[in-house]
Amino acid sequence: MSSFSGIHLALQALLTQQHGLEVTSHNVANSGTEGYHRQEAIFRAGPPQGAPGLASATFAGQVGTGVFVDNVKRYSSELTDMRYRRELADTRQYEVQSEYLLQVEGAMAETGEDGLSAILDSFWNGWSYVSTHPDDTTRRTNLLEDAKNLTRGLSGRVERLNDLRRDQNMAIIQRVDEINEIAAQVARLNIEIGRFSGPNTSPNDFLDEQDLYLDRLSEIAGVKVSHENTGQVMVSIGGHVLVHGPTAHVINYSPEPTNFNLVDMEWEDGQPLFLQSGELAGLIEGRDVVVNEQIESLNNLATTLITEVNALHQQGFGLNDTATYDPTLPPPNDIIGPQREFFTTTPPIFDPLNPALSITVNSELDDVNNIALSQTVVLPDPLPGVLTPGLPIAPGDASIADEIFRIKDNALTFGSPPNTVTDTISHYNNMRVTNLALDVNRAETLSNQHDNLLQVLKEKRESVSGVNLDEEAAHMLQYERSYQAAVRLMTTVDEMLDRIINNMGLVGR
Amino acid sequence: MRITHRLQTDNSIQNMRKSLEKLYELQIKAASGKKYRRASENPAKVSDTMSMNSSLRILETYSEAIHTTKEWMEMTDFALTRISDDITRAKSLTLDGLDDGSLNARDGIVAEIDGIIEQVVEMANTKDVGRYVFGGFLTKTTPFEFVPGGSVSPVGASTTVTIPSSNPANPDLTIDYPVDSVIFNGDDNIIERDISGGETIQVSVNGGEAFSDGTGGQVFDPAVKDMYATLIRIRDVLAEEDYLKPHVSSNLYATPPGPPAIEVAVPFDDPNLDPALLPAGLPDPSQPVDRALLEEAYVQLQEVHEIVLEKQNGNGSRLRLLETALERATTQTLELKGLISRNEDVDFAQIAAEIGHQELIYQTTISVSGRVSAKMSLFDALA
Repeated sequence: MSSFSGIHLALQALLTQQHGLEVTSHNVANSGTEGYHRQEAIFRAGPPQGAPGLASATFAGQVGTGVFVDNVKRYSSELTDMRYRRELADTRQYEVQSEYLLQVEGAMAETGEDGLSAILDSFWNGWSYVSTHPDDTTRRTNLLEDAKNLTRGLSGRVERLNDLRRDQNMAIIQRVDEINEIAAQVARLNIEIGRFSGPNTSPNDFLDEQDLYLDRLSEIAGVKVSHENTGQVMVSIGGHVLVHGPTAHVINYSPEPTNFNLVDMEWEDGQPLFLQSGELAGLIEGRDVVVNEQIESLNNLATTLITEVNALHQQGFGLNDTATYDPTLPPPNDIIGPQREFFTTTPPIFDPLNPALSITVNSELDDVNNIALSQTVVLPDPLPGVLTPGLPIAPGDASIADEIFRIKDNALTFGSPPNTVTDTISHYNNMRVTNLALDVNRAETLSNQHDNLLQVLKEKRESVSGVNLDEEAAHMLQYERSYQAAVRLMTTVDEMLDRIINNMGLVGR
Repeated sequence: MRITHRLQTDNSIQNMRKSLEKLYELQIKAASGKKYRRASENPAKVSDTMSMNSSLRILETYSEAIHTTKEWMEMTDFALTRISDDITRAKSLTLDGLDDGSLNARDGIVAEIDGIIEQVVEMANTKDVGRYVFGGFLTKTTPFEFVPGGSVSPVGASTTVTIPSSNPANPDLTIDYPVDSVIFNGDDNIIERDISGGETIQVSVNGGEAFSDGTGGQVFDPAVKDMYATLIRIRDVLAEEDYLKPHVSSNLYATPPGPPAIEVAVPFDDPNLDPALLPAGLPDPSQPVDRALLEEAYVQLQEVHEIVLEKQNGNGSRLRLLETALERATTQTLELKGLISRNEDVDFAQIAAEIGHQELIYQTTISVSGRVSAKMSLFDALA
């Protein structure tokens, strides 16, 4: 055993305490850093040495060699991380969805005075209003305005939904880009981590960065993560590998012609992308399911409205119309009128695939006298036996207007078989609004539920990995004291050596 | 559980955020006065409210329709009342004519009945906001039109009067004379209207049915209940001379063959005429009116009056029905408004209390948070 081993031991202690203090300062410095996991220098006693001596048998067997830093431990709980990320993916899915659906709900503004329900009522009321004075131009103009307001209400809603859907599409594209970018970063980190990790070295700060990326990936796409011993990770989405070792697989997107040219996603190897949770799943469900349901309901409503109103309106006559009597036809077809449509159904103005978007009032009715309210023709008595054109109509009759006004009370059929619904038009509309409200409500509730759980898990995570300043202060004190003690030790050994070197052998001098 | 400072900070931020959010929501509720801003806040309630709002709007439409209808029916009632009064007056004038056959008295009566005829035509052409109320569906066409005798053929062209001869050697005199008439240009339709879901009410009284036995333009006939024809008949019988004029003139000045010269008619009681030249069997103008004809017309007038009264009663009871419907609509509107208000309006007292409570919570939260973020760790305790 060397005479200087004491100094060496004290030096080792000084260095070790210094290292410990460095880790503590790293912790304190990063106590507010996102994704930082607290670290701790784990000390280990040095390997003991057998003390060789002349009479070793009577000596104590071994002598310690002081303290070393064994490794710097990074506090993290893989299990909590896993659960946290799963909840994070669910929370974000419903959060994004509810934000988006709230936008849809806001854009539709159905509960207010501009709601489709109110617009529809005004439209029906217009018919009642005109029926009390069918020959009054002001009332006819009023009806025309109500009808135009209705067509604008329907097409405006579809336009707004289409706009929202396009915004949603942009958000989806942006998320996919982000996934690809992060996947590349995770693959890069895998290489770095692989290079640094060893039995006693842990690339702690790379692991923090990796955790942050994995959190974000979970948020976006609900990824599955499996850790390898090296600290590298394998990441997959819906059963397909995203990152494995140094390789990141890219997700491609392209406009899908069958889905209004909104983007569709697939893996670079051509496999479809399955998403179970995360922002992307929420965005896609909002874009492809909820908005589509709304548009489809509006289309069904428009189609039924057009059919019902036109069927009655075509039987009527405008104020300046005349009828033709054809004795060769059986009644009531023997009286032939102009058969004007109320809502245009001829392309290109009308698009049968997008009825709610393209619904318009027949432009012939801009001359409000052409609105057909009467179905009574003044017939000659007796009826002539020949084709007689130019028969005048009775302007006081408003039976067409009355009939159209009554459409609101009738149970009508919406949609095409087999998915048909039979209800009154205002109930059908209410159902559409309520369905959206329930969707929003459900998304909000689920997002809140998952968020509550997420908060608990976040606390748990923070509880394991977070920096507690009291602990750090205590550690700091401890390192300081140990450091001071080691300095004192070194001084003591030095004094001992001083005695040996300078004062020994001077006896009797 | 191991608590870190960051956890404390995060939590207090979260708590402040949630507390402020609640306060904000309460403030919005108080400011808007509505319990819900969006349907998704309570889909079931909001759906109910939407349905009720829709019912309310429809109800307002019905009320509006009832008001307009009421105006129309009140115009109809006014016209029918006036016509009925006129007929009553005509009846009493007819009785006067029967009592006092003197020419002078009859002249006055004839003039008044002439005025009545003009007035009933005017009343039967009553309009509501520019629309004729008695014309059926033909609301733009004047329904009743006075046609002077002989000017329109065949409508009201002529009637036949037989004057019995007092001299058995001479045959009875049969003469055609043109009569005035009133024609009906409307149709036989009746306007109806919805006054509440599924309840339809008859709005118009058909003028043809009420005043001219459906078709109009008739000459007097006991089988035809035409008010105008009856009044004209009474006038003509009382003004006996008028239908005798052509007869007299043709017999005096026209030499057969040839049509009677109507245009040169001379009153047969003209004092300048030589009574010797008058044909035998003519009624004596100083004699009372032809009572049989007048009585026949009087009976007819009573029947015609009954028809008008019946129409007036019908219209009146429908008006009362309308008023009931209006009252019902008003009650329903109030009830619905109450229900809607209960569904969506906030209780201000409750909101005020809740806001006070929430403010207290918020204040507590921020003061606690302030203390948490204040320097509180071992570092601060170290000398």
